[in-house]
Formats: sequence, structure tokens, C-alpha cells
Amino acid sequence: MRYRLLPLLPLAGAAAVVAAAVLGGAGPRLWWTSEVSAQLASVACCLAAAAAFGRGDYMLRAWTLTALGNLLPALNRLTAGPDASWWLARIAGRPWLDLALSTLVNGFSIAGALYFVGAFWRSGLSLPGSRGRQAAVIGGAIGVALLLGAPVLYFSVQDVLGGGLAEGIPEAIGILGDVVAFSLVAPLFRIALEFRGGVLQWPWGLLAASNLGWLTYDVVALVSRRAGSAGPARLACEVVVVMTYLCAGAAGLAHRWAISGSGEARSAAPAPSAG
Amino acid sequence: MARLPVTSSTCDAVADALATYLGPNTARTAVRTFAERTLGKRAAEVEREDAPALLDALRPMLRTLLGSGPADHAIQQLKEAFR
Repeated sequence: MRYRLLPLLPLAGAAAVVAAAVLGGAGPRLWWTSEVSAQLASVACCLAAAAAFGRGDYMLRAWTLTALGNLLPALNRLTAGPDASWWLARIAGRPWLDLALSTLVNGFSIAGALYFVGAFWRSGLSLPGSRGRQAAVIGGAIGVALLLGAPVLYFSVQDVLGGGLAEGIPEAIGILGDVVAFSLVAPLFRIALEFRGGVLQWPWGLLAASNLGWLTYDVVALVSRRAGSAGPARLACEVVVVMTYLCAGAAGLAHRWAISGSGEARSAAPAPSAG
Repeated sequence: MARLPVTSSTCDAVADALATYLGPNTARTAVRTFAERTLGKRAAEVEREDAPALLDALRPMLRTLLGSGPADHAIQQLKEAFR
């Protein structure tokens, strides 16, 4: 089953970054190349998923928003260059640009993830168990996600408070985005679990893994920042970033395959017997 | 065409087809839920002639998750299987 190959995509990306770092030497050029490559691959896959839907389809909006959430950081990195010396980097320090970028990236990504969570309920499906049990399970999972993210949020808020308002507001928006993203990891995984055994488990599961990747990235980045270490910690950060983007891309591919493979499902539809 | 008496095979057949997308558990739950909600019948009471109405009720769900084109195609294919 080709879907089982999809989790290998982020793993292959991670292996490529590590191999390049070991063989060719780690540095800004490698980080830039690996990030931009993963971002653009992710955007391409998300747009491929979006293109599989028709105008007015609910999931078209979900995939378009997710693609935009990955495209903007890619454009930012592309135009800034490996040493942050290209043309946009010269104006990127302007607070309004940071603010706009942070707001748009977080807004698109969160809106996309909310669409994925909302799709389950919009379709008329419901989680098993009573409403109270569902709320407890989801609430508990969100609590775990927030607990994992709490140290990151704490130190990030400290950094924001320590800096000026111009730097603080985009950071604060990023933190707010992280809080929402952490909270969405649990519902996404829960929905993927409900689709267990069906092809839709892959887009939801891989998207949940991507959101979990951002949480992991924040933790790894925080640890490396606090420890003041550079080499291995930076490599770990880059590996997580690449895997996170490629997970989103793999989710896009999975959804596109699920839709294009509907012919297989149709032909497999069993005719009811006369009993 | 032989008419199906009261059996659960109609719901089972629909659930089996939807399981490709939704997984077996959610497919079964969805069919049971929509049968009760739309037809006012338990899964075991759904007859072959109820299949078109049941499939039409499931159409919005599939349109949300798969898009209009593939969902309509899948529903049409299932309806033909029940003719």
C-alpha cells in the first residue's frame, strides 16, 4: 500500500539533512537549502491536494490555507537568502513586515488546521462515547499538549517581555499561534484514529504529526537557546523543521491519492447479496 | 431483481464501501447514524429500497471529506450496485 511509504518522506528529508551536514559541513547555506527545499516541496504537495478539489469544496479551503501558511515562510527565506543578505532582508527588520508575516503565517496555518478539525463535525460524524467523555478525552489531550508547550510558552513570553514592543508583538502572535497549534494536535490525532483502517487516516494523521512537529521544534529550539549550544542543537532544529514541513506535504499527497483513488474504492464496492 | 428482505446486508454493504475512506468502525457508525437520522430505522431494519435515500443522506459527508466530484461518483457507483 503506497500510503505506508508517505511517513518515509519526512524521514528521508531528515536523513538527507543529517547526511549533508556530516559530509558537507553544517552551516547557514545548508540550513537555508534544506528549509527552502522542504517548504517548497510542502507547498507543492498542499497545492496538489487543493487542486484535487473543486471550487466550493470545503477541503479546498483547508488545503489552500495550509499551502499559504507554508508558502509565506518559503518566500521569506527565499528572498532573505542563506546569509539574510538579500533584498528583502534589508527591509525585513521593519516591525510592520515582521508583524504582517507573523500574523499571516500563523493565521493561515491555524485556519487550515481548524478546517481539518471542523471537517469531521461538519460531515456529520461524531466521536464515540457520550459528549462528556468526548469532551474529557479531547480536553485531556489538549491539556497534555499545552503542558508540553508550557515551558516553551513561559520562556517565550519572558523573551517578549524583555524585548521592545516592536519585536514583542510579532513574537506574541507567534506564541498565540503556538498555543492554538498545540491545542489542535490532539483533535487531529483523535480524528485520524477514528479513520483508522481507511485512507483518510493518512492526511489527518500526517497533518497532526506536522503540528506536533512545531511543538517539538519549539522545545528543541528552546533547549538549544537556553543551553547556548550551537552545532548539534541547530542540526536537530533543522531536522525537525524539515520533517515538519514534509509531514504536511505528505498529508497533502495522501489526501490527493485518497481522492484520485476513489475509482478503486468504487470498483471495490460490494454488491449486497439477496441474503 | 430479487428484493432484499429485512436484513442488515444493505447497511453492511454501504459500510464496507465507505470503510475504504473512513475505516471500518467510523463507516459502520456513520451508516448506522444516518440510517436512524434520515430513515428513522435501525441498521437491521434498512431494506434494499432504502439504499438510495441512505446514500443521498451520506452524500454531504463524503462531499466534505472527498470533494463533490469523487463523492458524487462514489455514491452513484453504490446506487448502481444496489439496482
